[in-house]
Amino acid sequence: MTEQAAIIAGVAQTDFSKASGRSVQQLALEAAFAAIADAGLTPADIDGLMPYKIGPTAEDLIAGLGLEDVRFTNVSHMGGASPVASLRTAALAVQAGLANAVMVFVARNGRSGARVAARLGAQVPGTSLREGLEQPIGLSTPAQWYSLMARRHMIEYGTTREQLGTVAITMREHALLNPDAMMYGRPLTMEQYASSKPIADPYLMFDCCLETDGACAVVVTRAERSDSLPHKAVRIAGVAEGHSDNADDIINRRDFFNLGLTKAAPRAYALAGLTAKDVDLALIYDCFTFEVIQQLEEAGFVPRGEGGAFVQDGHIALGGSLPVNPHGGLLSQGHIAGINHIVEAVVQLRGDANDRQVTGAEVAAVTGWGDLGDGSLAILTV
Amino acid sequence: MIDLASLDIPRPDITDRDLAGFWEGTAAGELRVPRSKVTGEHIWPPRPSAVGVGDYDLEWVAVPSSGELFTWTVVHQTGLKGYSGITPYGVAVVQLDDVPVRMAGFADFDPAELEAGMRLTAGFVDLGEGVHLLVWRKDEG
Repeated sequence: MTEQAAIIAGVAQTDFSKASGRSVQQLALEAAFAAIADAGLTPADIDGLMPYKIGPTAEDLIAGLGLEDVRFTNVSHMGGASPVASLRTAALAVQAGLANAVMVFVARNGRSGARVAARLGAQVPGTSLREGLEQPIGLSTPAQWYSLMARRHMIEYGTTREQLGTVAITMREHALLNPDAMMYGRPLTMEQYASSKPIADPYLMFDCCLETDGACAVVVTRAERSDSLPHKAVRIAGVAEGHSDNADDIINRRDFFNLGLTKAAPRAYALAGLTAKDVDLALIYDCFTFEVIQQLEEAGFVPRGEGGAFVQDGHIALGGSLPVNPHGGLLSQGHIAGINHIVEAVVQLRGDANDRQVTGAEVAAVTGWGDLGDGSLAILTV
Repeated sequence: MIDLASLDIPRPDITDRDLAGFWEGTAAGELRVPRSKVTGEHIWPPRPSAVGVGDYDLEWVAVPSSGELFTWTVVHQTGLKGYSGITPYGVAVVQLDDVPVRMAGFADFDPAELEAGMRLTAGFVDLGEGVHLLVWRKDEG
């Protein structure tokens, strides 16, 4: 893999807000133009596009960027696991010569426009099970589905409210170092966390990610272009996707905690020739607090059942043994389907993260989580 | 107990080809699950074929209508019609007795009483027009 590795040449994100005041097409274009410039390219260099399942299309960007000959497009259907999985597809495309430069992008007015409930129907697999067996009994949202897993983890492993709260507070403390985070300047105490309104118990409001207006774009190209870039090239060392057993139904998994990530992680490490111990920082798809604990376990950073204690002991904070989401994550920076985790990984690996820089960051792991536990993992290196 | 029948909650399509046998069961006061004559396995949630085997000639069999609480959520916020007016309420996932099947249902009691491992028994609420909804109730015995 090393010889032919693809690289991330450019990244960009718009401002993150509750009300962008722009169309999603404009947000996508803003991120796209900026990412192309960040890569030292011109729009004409882009000949591959990978949109998100929901939002602006490849055609929107072909028209808006004035691209004359896009020859590769593809859409991953793994919910929030899609942007990370798309890195692999983009890498394969450039390595195979199907395209020279592929842009992966997500743009949404996730707060002021189509919020999560509205997007869900178009996205989640197993529609007949959702509509036939779940909605009639009052079960219908990701917070509710995943809280079933969090509750079971509490029963089986003794994971605590305080450990969930530690995830929320750690993400917030990171966001306080990131002027681009939606929660910049807004500290969060354990008391505020614990007294926030319940959403789907055990999930309280501060266990839940933000809903965000904004866009991100990532440009993938061949490693041989590394020397001509304005910034340090970030190598896509290994990316894999995985799907949990019983992929369309959380409730009846024999191994209740297995995720797509459980299967993707060993594949991604093997491709990269690295192990979890080599990772300097992790960008974990923190749609909810417990999902950080679960993914730390399933990605091999800590044995199953020990994620809560690992978090509580401070390992995931900046300065800890495995800093997680220095930008503040989906919980406190913003939620652009997790592609903002890829942007942050690149910024960190370039050494450009200012006050939140992880010292000596050379290997980053980025997880994606989607729908009913689809998973992806990217190992990025410099 | 909450009278779900008095609420305008989302109604299942009881004619759905893969789920109709379940709804026939609830109308008869039973939990029924498709089972493969080839593998002998219970298939839940229902699917058109035995898992991993192209066996579409499934038989619906009754399974125990009681079990232990495996996990749950207490819903405080929902956009579902009917349910939005009765928050907070519990949704219970029950590991059925004797068969490797977990079934989720509305917890028809105070959600503060939900406790890991508690015994629960299926109840069936007549929503009209042939729809009988599974709810979980505390074992009184």
